[in-house]
Amino acid sequence: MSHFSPLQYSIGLITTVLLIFFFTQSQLDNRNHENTLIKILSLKEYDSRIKLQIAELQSGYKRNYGGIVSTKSHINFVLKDLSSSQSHFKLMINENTNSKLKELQQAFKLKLDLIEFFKRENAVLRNSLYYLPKLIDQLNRVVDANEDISSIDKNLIMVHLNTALIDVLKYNAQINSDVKNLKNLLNKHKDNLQIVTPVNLQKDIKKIFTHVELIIKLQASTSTHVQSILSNNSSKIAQSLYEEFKHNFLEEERIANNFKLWLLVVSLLLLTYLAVVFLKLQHTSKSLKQSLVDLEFHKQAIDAHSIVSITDVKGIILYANDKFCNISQYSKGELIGKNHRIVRSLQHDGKFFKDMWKTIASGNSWHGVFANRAKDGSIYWVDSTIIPRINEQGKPYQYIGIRTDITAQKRAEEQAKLLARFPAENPDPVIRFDTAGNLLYANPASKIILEHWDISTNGFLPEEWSIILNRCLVNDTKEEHEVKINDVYFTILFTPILKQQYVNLYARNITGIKLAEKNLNYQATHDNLTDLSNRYAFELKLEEALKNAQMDKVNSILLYIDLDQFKIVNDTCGHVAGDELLRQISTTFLNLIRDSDTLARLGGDEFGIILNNCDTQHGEFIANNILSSLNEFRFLWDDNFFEIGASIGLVEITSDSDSTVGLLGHADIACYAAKDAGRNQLKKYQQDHVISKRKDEMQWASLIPAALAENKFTLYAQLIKPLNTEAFSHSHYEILIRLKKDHDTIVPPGAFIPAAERYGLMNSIDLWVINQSLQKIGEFNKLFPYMPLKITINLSGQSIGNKQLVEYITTLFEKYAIDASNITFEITETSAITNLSTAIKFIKKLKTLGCKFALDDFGSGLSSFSYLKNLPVDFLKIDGAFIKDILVDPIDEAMVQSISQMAHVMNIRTIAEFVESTAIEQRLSQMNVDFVQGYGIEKPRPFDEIIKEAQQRESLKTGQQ
Amino acid sequence: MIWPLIEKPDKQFSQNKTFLTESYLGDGTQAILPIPIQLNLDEQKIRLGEKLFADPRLSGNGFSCATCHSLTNAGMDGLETSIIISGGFDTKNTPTVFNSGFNAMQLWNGEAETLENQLNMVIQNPEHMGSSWPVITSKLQADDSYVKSFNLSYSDGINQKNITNALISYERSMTTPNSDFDRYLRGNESAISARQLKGFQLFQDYGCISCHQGVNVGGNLFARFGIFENHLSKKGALTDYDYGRFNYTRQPKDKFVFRVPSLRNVSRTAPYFHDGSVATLPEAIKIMAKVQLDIDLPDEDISLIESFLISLRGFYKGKML
Repeated sequence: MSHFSPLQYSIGLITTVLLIFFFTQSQLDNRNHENTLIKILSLKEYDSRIKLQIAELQSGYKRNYGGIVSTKSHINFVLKDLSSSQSHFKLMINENTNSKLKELQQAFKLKLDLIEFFKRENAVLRNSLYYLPKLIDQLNRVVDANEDISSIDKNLIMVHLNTALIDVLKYNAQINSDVKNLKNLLNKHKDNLQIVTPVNLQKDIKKIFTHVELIIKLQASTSTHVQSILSNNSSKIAQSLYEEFKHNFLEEERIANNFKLWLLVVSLLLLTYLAVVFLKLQHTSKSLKQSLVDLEFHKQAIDAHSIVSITDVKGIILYANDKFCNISQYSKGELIGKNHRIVRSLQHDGKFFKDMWKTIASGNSWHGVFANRAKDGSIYWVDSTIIPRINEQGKPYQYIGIRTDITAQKRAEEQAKLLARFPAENPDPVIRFDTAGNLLYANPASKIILEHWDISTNGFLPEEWSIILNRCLVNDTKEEHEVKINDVYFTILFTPILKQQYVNLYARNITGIKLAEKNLNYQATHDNLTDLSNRYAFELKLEEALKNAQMDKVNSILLYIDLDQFKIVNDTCGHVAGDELLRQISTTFLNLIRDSDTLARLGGDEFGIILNNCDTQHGEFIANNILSSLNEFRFLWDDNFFEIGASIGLVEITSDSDSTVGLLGHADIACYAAKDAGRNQLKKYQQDHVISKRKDEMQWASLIPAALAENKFTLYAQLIKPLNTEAFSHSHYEILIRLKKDHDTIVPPGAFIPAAERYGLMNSIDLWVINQSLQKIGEFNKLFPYMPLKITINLSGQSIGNKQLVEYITTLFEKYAIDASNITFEITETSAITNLSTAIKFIKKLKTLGCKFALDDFGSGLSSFSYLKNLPVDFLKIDGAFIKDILVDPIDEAMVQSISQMAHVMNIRTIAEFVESTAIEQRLSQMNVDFVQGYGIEKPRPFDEIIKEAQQRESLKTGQQ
Repeated sequence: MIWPLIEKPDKQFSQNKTFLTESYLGDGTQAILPIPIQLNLDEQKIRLGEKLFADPRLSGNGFSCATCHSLTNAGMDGLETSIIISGGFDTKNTPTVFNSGFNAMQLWNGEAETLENQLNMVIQNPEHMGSSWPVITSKLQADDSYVKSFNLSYSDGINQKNITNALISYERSMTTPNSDFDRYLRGNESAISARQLKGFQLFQDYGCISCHQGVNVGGNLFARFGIFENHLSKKGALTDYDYGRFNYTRQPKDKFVFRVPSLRNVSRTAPYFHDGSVATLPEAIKIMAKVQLDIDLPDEDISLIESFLISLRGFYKGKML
């Protein structure tokens, strides 16, 4: 093939350039063009919208300018859009069109300005039109009420006024458009009115006619404005801009079409040229092809030739063709002259060769298959025919071997053999049935399934399985089925092979997966700590119980249990103990409910129980059983016994219950109410009860800050009397808080402290108490430094976490010159233990100032002294519950005894509260309790009263001295 | 001619969607329209705008938009006239930013046609924000959190166009729907008191409603301050700003012409008028009646109209303005 000439190159290049040029010139942006046309047309649409809107505004039909303002902003947007430099419009237009756009912008600017002015004037016109009737009405009334005017005059005035109003309204409504006539009429009314109207009302007449004249004037000028707005040619310009732009586009299109024509012409020329070149090429290639075919024939003949070798009778190679060389990897030189054994492999035994030699030596040709060995040791297979060349004596003198390479075939056979063993080696069962259900094949692993199906004895698939088989065949679909044989699970995939008219069954042992699935399911629905159902499973069961109640009217009971002392165990003994406690509690609960009931751990120390098919009475019975069994329950850990309590909320699951969420919420509220009522309580959910309680508390939430601000709280105090006068001769007072509700009503703290705790108001109450009591103490002790009053101030759990409190107390001590040793702070055992480390830090800080500390309600929380070692307290206040019955209950007595003993060992003083009789006081004295407090000793009194008494006493003393 | 079907509006054109659908306009026969409850705005851009609104980096001296347009003070400063950078006070009262998206023009004299224009003016005014777009842009670009937020909302990051867009999205979101009067308009007849209803009746009878109409109870047209009497003639020395629209159109007919202000939340935006010269709402009502209508309004009517105006107090973010 000859090279392209420079001429041919340049023809190609030029045509390509031409093609690209014509192509780009023939393209038009139709979509953008269309959009631009729409934009221009939309201006016309807005223009006509404005016409309508102006008419509506002028007639007073429309009473706001929202519509016209919106239209105006649309127009401005489109105009801005068209004139923006990137717009299609700008790219497309010529100078003429551009000036037209400017003209349009000008026209619209003028129009919009006029509209602005119209709006302004129209508003004033409307204003007078709204006001005039009221003005005339007012005057009518004044005239009517005026007794100095005769009734004839009254009528006259009224007629003139009303006629004038009607004339004006008619004119405005353009019913009457003769201004001159109107003015005459109005002047007549005006003159007449001025005659009959008293002087003092003349100015009202004047005012009315001012508005009348204004209306006429504005009516005329707005009409003029409307006229010029309507005559504004913006719409026409928009139309002509539209035409022009369209025309421009058509022109562009015409030019583009010309280029398209050129594009066609050049393309045709190029095509013709290519066709000529192509024909020329074809001619050349035809003759070339013929010689190639001849060559190919020879080559093929040689290639097709088999492996050929010629040996003498001894097997010495005399001739070897290329193919032989290729396959044996020996060169001709290496082969010729060598014995044919050079390619012999060890695949055949001696007898094989003996037979062969025998056959060919006898002059017969031999046919067989050889495995030969190539130079590199690899084996190749040949299908071989050996023909003896017989000499004149009739004896062979040469052998010609013609062989075909069948190595690939041989290998494939081997592979097929191996492959045939593949299903047999499969550890999963593989079975094949024909369409009638006869067993065609089964691998050894299928044994268990075949035995299960009992196929060996009756040869057929059991009926239920043959139904599946037929279904698969009929539908030509695969189906997977599970079968359990002994403890082994299989899935069997039925795979119909319609073409071959059989069905393959692939089975898989899924026992492992099955077990894992079961395990997972168990984990998803169970709490792994207690092995009880978890919240998720519980909610499902609750759903079920709710359904039963709603559909079948089978009522159930939901119990919500919250452990009271769990946190203390967890905090003092660690999580291991807490976990163990939860497990033990679970077992206790399980023993109290039926198998058909559901017990679940809902989280933390919360449990839920669903008592299926159970009425309230029985539900309460079970719940009380739980409470009493918890009462007896003792948790032992590291030689410590803990008592555990619980609060239980009870909710009925009836057909009226709405949802599981609602049920759980109600149970939670009831449980909360139970907790509020004290420990080991059961509360049934009652809506009104809870709501009123919440409301009460909400009220306190606002009352407490108000009471603080208005100083409505007041201090009380109760004597704490020493029993052993030798060592601790000085009595002290526990400061208490009361609320003065009205003049005489004093509210005890039990009413508002729980609310204060819930709404985080305890801090401010504590601060108030501290400030008040320290101030009073400071004042008193300054006067009587030798006989100071000692007080105990209660601190809430919230205050223990308050970092600023220590600072605050320090400043107050300085401010009121307090001797800190006179002040004891009291915190409850529970609040100290819930934040043990914070409490320890807090106590230590305050103790460095010199104050003392008491632990309140000791013994109520838990009967362990171990944490006492860490709490540096000076006093233990034994829980009143133990003191009350000390004379009759030996356990309580023993309890107090042991607390007293232990405290003395630890050098902590004890205080007994709730001491209601002298008998108790005596008993306590015997038990070495240090202080007593209670109604039997002294009732709480206003603190001011106590101070006053002490003042009198002390001044008396000093007076005596 | 055949009107072509609008099939595929191009991208630019479809952006003419306003933040309101026009359906809120109703049939136009109602003079006052309730503030629409739903707006078509991008929440992400609003949040970005909110941040910018309170950002002093937008000014040359530590002012932010919120300095004068305090959200806790009904979107304005409560001053007679605004404070200026060089110290002292301007000659014009700060209009509230609340519901400004509904105004057909901005500022007392309507000088800014759009919120975009207004923003552009106030940013570059040496006495107001005293800054420039390149400065603001580079300040914001130095702040990674802005870069991130802008990239989330805009493909081309921080620039004048997008800062403006975010701020305006926020401003448009600052509406005060659900006022007592709006609820009355929506059919809840007990939403306003008998006195307020009476006040509304007077508001119509006296013709106040001819200017104070639309969704913003004003804000969509110009009017001369003083139809029957030139209120400003009593003022003594007039400032440029007192000339109103004339100040920038230089057309005699625009002398003392101002934008009719919106009466939304008007009880919270004292002092009143373009120069903040009137301290109380009753006094403003009285002056309006005198100069626009030539009426000496009885005290009882003033009080009734005032109580009607109080019913225009709406809610922003669930709180009464």
